[in-house]
Amino acid sequence: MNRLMATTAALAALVAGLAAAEPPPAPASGGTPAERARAVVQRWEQVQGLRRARAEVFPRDAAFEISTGDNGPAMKVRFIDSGAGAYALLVQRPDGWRYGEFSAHAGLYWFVSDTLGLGQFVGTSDLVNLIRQARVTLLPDKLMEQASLPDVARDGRTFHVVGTKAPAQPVQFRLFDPERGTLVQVDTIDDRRQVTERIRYGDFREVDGVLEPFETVFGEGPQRVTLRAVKLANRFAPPPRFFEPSAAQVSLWQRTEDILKKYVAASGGYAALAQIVSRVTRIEVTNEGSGLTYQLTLSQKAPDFFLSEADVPGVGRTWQGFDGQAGWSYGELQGFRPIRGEELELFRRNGMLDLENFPKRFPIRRSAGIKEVNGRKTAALELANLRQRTGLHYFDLETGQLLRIEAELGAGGDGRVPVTIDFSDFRQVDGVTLPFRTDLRHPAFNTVTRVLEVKQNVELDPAIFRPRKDE
Amino acid sequence: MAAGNPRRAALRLVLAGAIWAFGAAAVAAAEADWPARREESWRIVWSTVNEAYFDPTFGGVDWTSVGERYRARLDDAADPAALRALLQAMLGELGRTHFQIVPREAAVFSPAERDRVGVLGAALAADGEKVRVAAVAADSPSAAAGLPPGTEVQEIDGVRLADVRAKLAASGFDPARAMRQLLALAGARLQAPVGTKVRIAGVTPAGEPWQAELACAPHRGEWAEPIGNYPSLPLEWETRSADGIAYLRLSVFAPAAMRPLRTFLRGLKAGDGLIIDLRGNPGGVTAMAPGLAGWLVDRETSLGSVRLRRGGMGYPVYPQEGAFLGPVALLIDGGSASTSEILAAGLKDLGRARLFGERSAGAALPSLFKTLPNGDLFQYAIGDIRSPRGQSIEGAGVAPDEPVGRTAADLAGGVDAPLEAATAWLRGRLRNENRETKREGGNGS
Repeated sequence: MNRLMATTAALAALVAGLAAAEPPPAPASGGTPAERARAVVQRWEQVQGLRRARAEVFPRDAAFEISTGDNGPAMKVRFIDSGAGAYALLVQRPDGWRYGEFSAHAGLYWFVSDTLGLGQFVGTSDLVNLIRQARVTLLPDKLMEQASLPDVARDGRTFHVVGTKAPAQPVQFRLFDPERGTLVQVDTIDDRRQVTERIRYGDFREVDGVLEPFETVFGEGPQRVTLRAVKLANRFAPPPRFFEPSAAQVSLWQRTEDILKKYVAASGGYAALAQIVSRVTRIEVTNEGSGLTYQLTLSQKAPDFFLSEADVPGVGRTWQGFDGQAGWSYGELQGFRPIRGEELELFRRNGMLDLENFPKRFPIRRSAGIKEVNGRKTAALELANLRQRTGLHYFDLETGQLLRIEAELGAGGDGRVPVTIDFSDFRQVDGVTLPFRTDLRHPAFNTVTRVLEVKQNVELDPAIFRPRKDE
Repeated sequence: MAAGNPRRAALRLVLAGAIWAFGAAAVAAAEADWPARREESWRIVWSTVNEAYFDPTFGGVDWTSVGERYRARLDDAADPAALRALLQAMLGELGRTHFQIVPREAAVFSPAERDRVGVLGAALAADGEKVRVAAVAADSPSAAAGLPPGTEVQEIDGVRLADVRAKLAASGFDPARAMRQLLALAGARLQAPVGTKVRIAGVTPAGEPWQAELACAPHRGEWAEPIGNYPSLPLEWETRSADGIAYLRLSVFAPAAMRPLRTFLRGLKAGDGLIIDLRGNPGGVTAMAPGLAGWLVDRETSLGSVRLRRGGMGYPVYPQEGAFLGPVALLIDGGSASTSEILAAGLKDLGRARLFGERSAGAALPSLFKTLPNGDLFQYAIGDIRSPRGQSIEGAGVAPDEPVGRTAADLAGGVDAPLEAATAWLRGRLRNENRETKREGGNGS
């Protein structure tokens, strides 16, 4: 109660774009702040149909356009929600890429796309969480406090405000349209009385006799995300087993799981790999396109700390690293630069020592058949997770070793280059097997790396992974 | 093929350049394994282009038949010099810059080899259809011989520049590009192994005939370190600052210059103006262009992009802590090539610099060097560069915002008109900015 009331004092400052209305009309007739709040909430539940039986609404078929910022390209989404945890989602991104998700049970879902293949995930995807948030839901049953607060004005209109505090949850302010009774904004407030999250609802239209928001905006400014409903249909009748993958799909995915487990075994096995918590590798790099040869030291520390140090003749020293917080690069020519996005994912992947978790890290897989690599028969799999595509991986059918990766790498700005990396000269070090030679083929040149020395489980000061500064 | 075809023109340019090829290069006696090394050298050159050339259509050239045609002539290449000429002619069929065979004996990879590159200390500039001496370095062979700045150079080692220009024009080069090529050829001729005698003949600004035989002297300054097969080069940079105008000149983009240059840029103050002089700078390490640009911006941006055979690369620029954000003027001329053009075009397109001087060389393709079995170096372009606004630089060059030429009278009188124009523009900008600052201060008080 105290916390809510103390926060109330700062309301006007917190609700950006709102000014205190003069004079504030009563949100409801008479009563205590709690009673007035209850009246506002009850009206809202009625006009937006929140107390309807589940069967009146679900399964629900909805289509959205989701965009970022002012004029960001929109992602098209169709979401079919069983209302009981199961769902099916179809996504078409602005770049044309299409994929889907389906879940038969809460906490486990399958990802599927024509280009990437099939993946099994634990939890619920971020996109589904976002879409579910876009639907207005009832307030928690057990509220520590619920109070009507002074009305606020925005764009010449006045809104009722209800503050709520649920156990173990932050304070929230809800703004209601006094004319229609709809919920138009939810602000979540932290201990420092700052708005940490803002959701705005608008463009209310009648669907099956209740008002539904056809526009939901998360956040503000250029990073805000807007969901615009294109279609909302209740009581959709999906075909049987609509939310489950087929037996053939599950079998195919299991085969890819077996290939990746064989790779883990070929690399030393789960137990041996799990014991490696740090590694320092000295490598000789030869760029055959330019005749440049130099040495590079790669330091890795669990979980994903990474540092590459090189002294390139004629160019100078360069460092690249990830310190658990940020990816960075510093060199004589380009100075300091942050490493983000896909490049950072690649760095973190390089830094990860937990090869035993390789199958978990790349749960989305597409089989590209049996291919020959340097005279060996391999199973070709395209591997990905929801953050990155890592290209085609070729696993030796006999030994299980990873022999080749074909991928497209970022190359500065919007640049992308296709590369092929071959792994060979496998040697065992401390019970784990590592490739001592890689051959990278780039559209313009080839680079060969040879491992000169490997030390594992050495003490590494976390400070060495921090960004370098200009001297 | 029509005379105006740029590919044919480029081939003829190679032949014209052969007039001034490294004539002093020793012709090695053919060795027993020469046929095999010759064949392997041809194979590397042809297949490297075949695999790495950025345009899969080779600009309409049938590269397979070109290769077969030149391979059939390999037996005629009895020595390294003949093979070099043959391979260079084959590369000339592509009609692009940054494809060349550099004789090993002309490249420097160690201090002991530095006498392979001697200098005369004379810089050249275009003045209409004439090539003039733009500047003479103190204590140089040119200074010792009394070569007056502003002198029109008419002959080098008996080759008349007017004849070379006529050949270039006959090969289909437009006058401006022919002049830029002539300037590049003439400038290259003024660098030769230490002790090499170069005969220069011309007319002084006073109208007097002038001729002398000058011996190339060692470069007394710094050298850029070799980077793999990329040879060591004489390196000069100059930084100075006076009355709020800072000046930075770089002779070649070499990593060794980065540290002093960034120290200089970091030391500039708000209210200063900066002149970057890239005249006569033939390029160097491409990555230095975005590296230097990072000291001139306060947000992430890009100097352009490179199209590769498959995929492409960007030239992202990352703002550096303490970057200089004041006005920048950049000087270019026909001798500004490659990395100079990438930096100039990028800063121009980004609105970060105003360009003064003359159109640049139009020779901007990122390239690598391979060593051939005969020891020669093979330079090959791997991509085609576009400026941030998508303009191709190769062949077209970068146009200055304010074209400012150099006349004989200016050169003779020690007047650097492009530098003066840039300085005047900067002073005007700084005056306006001061006025704005004062006005804003007045409003706020």
